[in-house]
Amino acid sequence: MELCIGASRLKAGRTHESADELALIERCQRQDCEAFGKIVDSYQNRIYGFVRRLAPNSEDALDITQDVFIRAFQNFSKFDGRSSLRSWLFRIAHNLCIDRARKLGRRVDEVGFQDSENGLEFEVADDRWQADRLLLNEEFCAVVEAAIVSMSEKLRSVLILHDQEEMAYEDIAQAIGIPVGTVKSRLFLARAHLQRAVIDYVGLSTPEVS
Amino acid sequence: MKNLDADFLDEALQSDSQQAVARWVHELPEEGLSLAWRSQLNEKLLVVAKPKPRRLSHWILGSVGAATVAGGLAGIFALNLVQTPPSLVGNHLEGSIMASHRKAASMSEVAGSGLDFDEMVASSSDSTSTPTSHTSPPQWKREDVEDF
Repeated sequence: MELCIGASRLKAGRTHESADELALIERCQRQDCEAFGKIVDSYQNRIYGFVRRLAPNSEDALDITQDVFIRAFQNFSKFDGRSSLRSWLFRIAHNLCIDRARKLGRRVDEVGFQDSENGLEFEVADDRWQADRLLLNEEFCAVVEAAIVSMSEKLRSVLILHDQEEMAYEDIAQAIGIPVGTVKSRLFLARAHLQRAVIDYVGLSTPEVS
Repeated sequence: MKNLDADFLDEALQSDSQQAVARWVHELPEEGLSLAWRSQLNEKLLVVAKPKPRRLSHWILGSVGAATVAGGLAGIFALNLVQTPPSLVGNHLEGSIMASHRKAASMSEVAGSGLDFDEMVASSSDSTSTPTSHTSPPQWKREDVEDF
């Protein structure tokens, strides 16, 4: 009965999942390991890409990513289709990362919109700032990755979900459990933080220019 | 400080500099997961996987089978009950009564029935009827001995 209700909600409530994925979800709700394996195939790298930027190290990231799928498998009957499967999986991942951070005694930093070390000026007015001309080579990727790691977890999670996973503001809000306005402000701050890091990099070294 | 309201945010997020950062993040290389990681996950999933719910036909067949086995066991038990002597089947009181009876019967066969109560009373009240064999002199003559 519960399954039928869940299935009907799935069909009625969502448009972003394909028919194939809906069928997979229904099978997963019946604890079908084969169907769940296909879900894992689809999402494992994306979940890991998110988790490894929030976890303290790569080993923890691997463990947490496994835990995400185990939790999902165990609780698939509770997935009612009100959010997308992707949002649901990322919510589990986000919660597990927060739990792990708390266990390790790390504080999940609160970020206010006025947060600024030097009265942050968000508009970057620098002659060297020619973002479109920067090549995303290995060194530059390392700078971007380092900048992502250096920002607070709250900014990081929104940045990754939006700019890497291309999730909508509403989906991110559901996944993390914050208002849409907060998602936008965190995204703005995260990008500004990354801009500053890149400007510092450009100022210290000569970037490749196409 | 600028008034960072919703409209400003929407506009700012679409600025060139913010969009450039979005592109960098999007184009960051993705790390894959190893097959070893995946097989480890599969093992963990097998451990947590619940047993599949049984089909209706399995329930029916299972119920019929269980009823058949139970009936057979009941029949065997009933047959054993008929063939077993009552003394072994009954409770402890019945067994002890039977054992007591058998013991008394065998004692009676060995020692005889003896005097009953009335006979005992009659003999004890007649003090003159003591057997004479213990007190009277022998009832034989000298000639009887000499014949030998």
